[in-house]
Amino acid sequence: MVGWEGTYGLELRGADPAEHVLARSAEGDQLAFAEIVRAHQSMVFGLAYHFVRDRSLAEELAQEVFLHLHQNLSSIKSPAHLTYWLRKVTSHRCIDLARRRRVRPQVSLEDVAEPVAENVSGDPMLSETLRRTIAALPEKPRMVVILRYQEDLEPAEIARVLGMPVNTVKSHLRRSLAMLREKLSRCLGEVKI
Amino acid sequence: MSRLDDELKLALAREEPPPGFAYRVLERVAAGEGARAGWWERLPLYARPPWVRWLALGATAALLAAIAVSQYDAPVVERAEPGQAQVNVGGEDSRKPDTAGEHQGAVVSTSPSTTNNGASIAPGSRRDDRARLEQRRKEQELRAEGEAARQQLILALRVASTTFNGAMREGVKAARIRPMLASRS
Repeated sequence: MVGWEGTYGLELRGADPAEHVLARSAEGDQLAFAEIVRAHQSMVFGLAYHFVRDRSLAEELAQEVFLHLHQNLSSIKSPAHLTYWLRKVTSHRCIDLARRRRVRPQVSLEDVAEPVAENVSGDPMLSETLRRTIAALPEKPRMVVILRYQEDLEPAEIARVLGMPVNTVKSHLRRSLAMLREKLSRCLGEVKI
Repeated sequence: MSRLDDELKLALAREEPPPGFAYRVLERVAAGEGARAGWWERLPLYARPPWVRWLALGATAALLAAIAVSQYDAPVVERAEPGQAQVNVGGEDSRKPDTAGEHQGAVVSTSPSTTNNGASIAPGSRRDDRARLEQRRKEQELRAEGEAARQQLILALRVASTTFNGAMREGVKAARIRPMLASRS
């Protein structure tokens, strides 16, 4: 991943490179815009992919988010605002898409295969089971869990991104985690998760 | 932090998109997809929130109601006018129906509340009735002027026709006499 410290960053003295790239991009500099895309593509694509569980659909969605960003570059005030804006737009687009296409019912929580491999930390089987279980959650709780664990956001930040009360976010998190814990305890037995 | 949290963080780590993602985004931007749409293209987007839809629905319903009310009023006025004419013609001498002056007088003196067949007159305010009567009076004045002009035109045509016929007769007579005079001479 190429970050803000790319080519543009090296040319700068004193000024915040991210702000400089943002300013150049807002002036119509396509290279600066490409820099922004590269800096945030893993975040946007990751959110979309974990939500829809389809790489091509996630790429299409992420591209649309960046196209929308290109249309609204003038309204972005700072790099922090840019990150917030991208998270917000991606989350809402994912939820809209899921509602339109009814992505959620593809996997029912009961249909998720239970892992048979040993419970080693960083187990790819366990990770895959977790992803599939999360994919079976309803749209909003799913996005809450993804924002919490992919972006490491606090409930208050998630509430701001999704435009919902903090208590709702907390309740979604609590219920989702309880569901995940129950699902995993069935297969991991006595091991405390 | 529990083990579940750790596992979730591992499972939901950021994902890199397929190679060339940024290039494909820039391609779409260059193709004009990233250009800001005109207001006419963005107009349907404003109707996306449900409250806008309800507002539009309400406005349409109000407009339809206004049209319906205006349409309901219009036939009543039309029905009232023949009613007035009927009263006027019936009240005056029916043998001279086209005398505009008499009509005018009759209409002015006939208010909606005093007509014999008052059922056909629209119930409205006095100001509306007065305006309607005024309009009716003006129309009748115009009609009377038109009628006078028509009479004058007919008279002029008759005079012209008579003169022309006389001239024709004189011409024919002269044509008959001219060969006779020529043969005598």
